Amino acid sequence: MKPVARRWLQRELQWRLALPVLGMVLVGGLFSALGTEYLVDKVFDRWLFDAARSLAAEVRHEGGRAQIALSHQAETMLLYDVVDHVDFAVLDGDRLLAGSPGIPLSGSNERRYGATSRAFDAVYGGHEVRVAWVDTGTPAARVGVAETLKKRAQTRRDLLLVFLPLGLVVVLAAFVVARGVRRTVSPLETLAARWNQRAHLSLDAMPTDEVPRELLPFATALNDMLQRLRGVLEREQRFASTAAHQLRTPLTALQLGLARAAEASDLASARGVLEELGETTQRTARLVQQLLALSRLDPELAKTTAFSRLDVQALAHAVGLAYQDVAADRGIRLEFEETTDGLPVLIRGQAELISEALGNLVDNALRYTPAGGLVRIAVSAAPPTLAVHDGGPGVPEHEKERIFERFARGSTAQGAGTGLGLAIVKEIAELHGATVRLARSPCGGALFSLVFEA
Amino acid sequence: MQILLIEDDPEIRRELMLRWQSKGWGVTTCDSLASADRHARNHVHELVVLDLQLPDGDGLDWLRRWRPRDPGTPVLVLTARDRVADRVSGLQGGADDYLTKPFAATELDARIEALMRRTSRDRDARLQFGPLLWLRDEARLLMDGTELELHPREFEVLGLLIRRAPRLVPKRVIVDALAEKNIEVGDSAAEVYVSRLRRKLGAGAVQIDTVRGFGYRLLLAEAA
Repeated sequence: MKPVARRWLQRELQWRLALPVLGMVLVGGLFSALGTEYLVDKVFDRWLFDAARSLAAEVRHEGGRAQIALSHQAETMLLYDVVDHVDFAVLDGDRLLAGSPGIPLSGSNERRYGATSRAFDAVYGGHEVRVAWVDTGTPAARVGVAETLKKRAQTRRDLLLVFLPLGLVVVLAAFVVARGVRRTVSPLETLAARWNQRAHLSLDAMPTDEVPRELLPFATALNDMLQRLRGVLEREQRFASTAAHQLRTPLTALQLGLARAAEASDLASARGVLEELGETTQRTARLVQQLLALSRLDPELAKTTAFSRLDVQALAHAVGLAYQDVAADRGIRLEFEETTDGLPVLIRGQAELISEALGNLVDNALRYTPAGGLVRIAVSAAPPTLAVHDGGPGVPEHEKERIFERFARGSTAQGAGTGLGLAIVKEIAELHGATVRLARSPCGGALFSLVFEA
Repeated sequence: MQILLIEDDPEIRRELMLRWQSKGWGVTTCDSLASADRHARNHVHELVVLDLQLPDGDGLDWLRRWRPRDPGTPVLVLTARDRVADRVSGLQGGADDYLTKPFAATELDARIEALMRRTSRDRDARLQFGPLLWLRDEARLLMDGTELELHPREFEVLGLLIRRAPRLVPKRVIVDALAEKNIEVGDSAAEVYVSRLRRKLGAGAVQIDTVRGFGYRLLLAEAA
């Protein structure tokens, strides 16, 4: 069997929360890093420009030419740096007025600060440097300062420490998400575990006090089902005990009869007893059949059987045909009367159950009608009605209610009745929303009708 | 007589076999539909006794499959299915009679004898009911030894009635039998032939009884 890939809500929820949180933290970190980079460059560039402008302030214009006179002291003060190495150049056109020769005039990652200042990365004297150039305007000289990148690199490293807590935030978020989800889902698991455990022990309803709102419909449905199941089981038990009790009676009769047959003095009387026992067996068999028919009628179980549209006219005719031979054997004429000109009489119902009900009525009618008598099945349309007339003694007024109870038998009862037939008819009728009516037939006997809702 | 018994319960099989053998009837037993298929194909039986719940399928399905190939051999269904609906569908599925378990042995004998009376091939040629003698091959009907003049269709219908007498012949069966010979179909056809027959039988000992809504049956006057 192929294992079913089941959804795991807890894991799903954890991933769905953790991934976006992680994404947000990463994007935030990235933006911060880019911003820091920009800021570091900008700050250090400013300092370079400061130095360059200080130098530019020393440039004098003498005789149409730019001149600079820089004391060693001033030079040292301007360019002194503990960490980085700084070089400078003051140019008039391409003429070097002061400083070191060969400071690059262009490079990568150039950034402009206003119209007169720009900074870029380049290589100078075998080192990577940041170069800042400032145009002095009047006199038209250019001042460039080149500085190695050690301070900048160090500052960046220092700033990484600022982002370190962000990593901690990620770890913390993962922990919070995992724990939060687990704690939310855990009542579900305890609930499932508790129900699972109890379901083995009893069919009692589960307490729903601790059930979260989302699960309440589920829990209520489960409890409803348990309750119905309890009902079915109780009825089933009651039924089984009644059945056992009812079966004991004919079994006792059989046992007594067998003893009598065994003790019989001659074969002829033994044979007589055995023949009686045959009848008892038949009655017992019929009782079993009726009990089974009743058990199929449990309202909870019967509710699940599908109802469909069916023509009771055709159904009644088929049932009548099936009983023709029984009727003939008993010397009874079994007739069929329809008042609908062959048109179908439609109801919603279950054909097998209605056949059973009508069959019981016909069977009863054939039992109570003397040989030579008449039994008639009649179908009419408005409202849909199945009626069975018989030629029997009829039902005394005071027994009209009682004969529909289980195991009740009328005072005129004859033959191998079980007292269940009419109870079955009544229960099938109720299942279909139909009523069973009992009246005096114009044929002389009883008239039982099943009247369905139109 | 040769009976084909399709029944999977060994005890019932044994009891029935002993009972029928003591009556001098021949019995072939099968415990599954597969072996029933084999036997039914290779041998001619005069009666099939069929249980419905068999290990390899539903006897009723088998009957529906098998019926078109052999519409003549009578089939008696013997089953524990006791609902009215089961009985109805059994008869509609092509069974000639339907007996639910448990049944009295005498009841079974009576049913078998009735089935044989109305379908036996040997006796089919010569049917008798009360004073009526129906001779198929000569197409003659004698009442108390005197011949009655019958139209061939009337003769046909009376044959159906005598074969099942005193049980009922559904109107549908008569209509179908007439339709097979390409005669006008419809309920009225049956009514016409039955009323003509009734006139010809007159007020004698045998009467055609109309069972309203179902069909016709033959009755002996003193029993009616």
